[in-house]
Amino acid sequence: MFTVFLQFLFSGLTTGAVYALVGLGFNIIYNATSIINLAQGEFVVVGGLLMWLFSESFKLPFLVSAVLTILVSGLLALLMERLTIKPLPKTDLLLMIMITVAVSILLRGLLMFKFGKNPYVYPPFTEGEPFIIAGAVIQQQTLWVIGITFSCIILIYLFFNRTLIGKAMRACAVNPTAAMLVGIDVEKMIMLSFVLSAMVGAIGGIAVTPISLMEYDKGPMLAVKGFCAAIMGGLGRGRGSVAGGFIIGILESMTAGYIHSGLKDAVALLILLAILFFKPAGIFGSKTALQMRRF
Amino acid sequence: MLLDIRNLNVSYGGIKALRDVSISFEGKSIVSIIGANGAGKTTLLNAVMNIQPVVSGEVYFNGEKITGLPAHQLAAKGISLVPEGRMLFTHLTVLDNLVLGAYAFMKQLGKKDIEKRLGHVYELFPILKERTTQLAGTLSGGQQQMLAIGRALMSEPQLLMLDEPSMGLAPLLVKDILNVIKRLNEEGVSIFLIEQNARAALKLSHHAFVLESGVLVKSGSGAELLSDERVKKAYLGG
Repeated sequence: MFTVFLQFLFSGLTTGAVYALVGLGFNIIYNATSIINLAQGEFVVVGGLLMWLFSESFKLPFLVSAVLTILVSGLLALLMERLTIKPLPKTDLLLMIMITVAVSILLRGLLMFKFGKNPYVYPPFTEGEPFIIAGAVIQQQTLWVIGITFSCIILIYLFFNRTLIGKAMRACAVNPTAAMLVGIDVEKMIMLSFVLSAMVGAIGGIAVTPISLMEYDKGPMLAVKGFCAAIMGGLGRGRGSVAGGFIIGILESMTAGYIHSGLKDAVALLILLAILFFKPAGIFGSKTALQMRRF
Repeated sequence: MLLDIRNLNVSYGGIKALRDVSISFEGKSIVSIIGANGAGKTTLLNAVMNIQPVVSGEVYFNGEKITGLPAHQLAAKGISLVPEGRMLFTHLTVLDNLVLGAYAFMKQLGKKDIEKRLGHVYELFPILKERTTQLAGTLSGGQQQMLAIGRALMSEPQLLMLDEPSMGLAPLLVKDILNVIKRLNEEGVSIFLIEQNARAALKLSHHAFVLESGVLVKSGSGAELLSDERVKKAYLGG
């Protein structure tokens, strides 16, 4: 009985880690711009599929493929920001969010064009026997996913709280006009936030593909789950979205295991509705942050 | 001329907010603009900083044309604005707000320079030193205004522009803030001040302008305007 529970928990942690990274990606852009980038899920897919392309199709070494994947994903986000976000009037937030939906549809189309509709997979980072804990199996790759997620979380936390450029990015979100007045190039910061969040998404995709496979249309569902994680944690709160991601991942896996796997995707949406009804600031968010939301 | 504004025109959706405004002054002085609400005072400062687009006209700073330059490049040229409503980075700490104030010079400045500038700000506003780790949004109104001025000073500007620094402050605090402005000027900083408290502003100023519905109607030394009948009637309560 306990073994089964543990098994569901491990699988929940794996998916939760990816949701956490997507949620984190939402927060990076939101914190710098107040925009919700709904193409966030697509960058996870881009990460997984590009990694397959470089490592399996081009036969490049693992690390080279990973670095290339992360760089190309960042470049893609840079193009997205320059072509679709920068030309828009900065006052119309909702318009900018709509545009990110358009970009997500476009990216999905391009991915289908290049990769087709089949799922892709490549071998896990390390070969070897899975660990057995109290009878439950935990794949080595699962540990990689969780480890990489936490490393990303720590790095991003340090970036936003310890480095000047990270603080400057936060300043842009709080008050772009004041940020300009002190000499911060706000447009550059917006660009940087898009690149950074795409890279985080791509890293998630690279790590999770050996476990859960990757196909061109996985993005929207990932975005929904990651968005739920971000809202649950209180939009703008990095650590909150991480906790939210893991909670949603674990609840999903429990629902799939104990009730019915068809209900799995409903969990996140039910949580989202409950949060928006009863605690719109999120579990870890504050009321003041909610008041400062611009939509 | 330190600041030279030539024939500036600004419109808000068809309404002319500033009409052919020309103002120029030399460095190391205190210059103020008085005028009623909606006369275009804030618009003027925002237009100088290029956070408000202009229709026509030019602004020169130290002889260099700055009209059309991106706002974030102006801090590095030596102009600093304490904006209307303070515009603090409310989610960041007092210290972070101050350090970001020097952002335009981050590449040139070492840790020691930043410390020195912080020291100067703390000397002017000792209360900020006790609040370094507090979030800016949780400060009282007076402290927020001090922080806003402190942040603007971190770039060691040649020209400090202040938009209604006494707005919403208790009279005693207003006096403190005005004293700081005077002291900064004695230290060599040029001050361009917008003030609703016309009497205090005129007393402080070497030169002042009166703005009415987007048009400059009068200018003179602070003392001249203080004794001017029309100014007395309109802005000094008789």
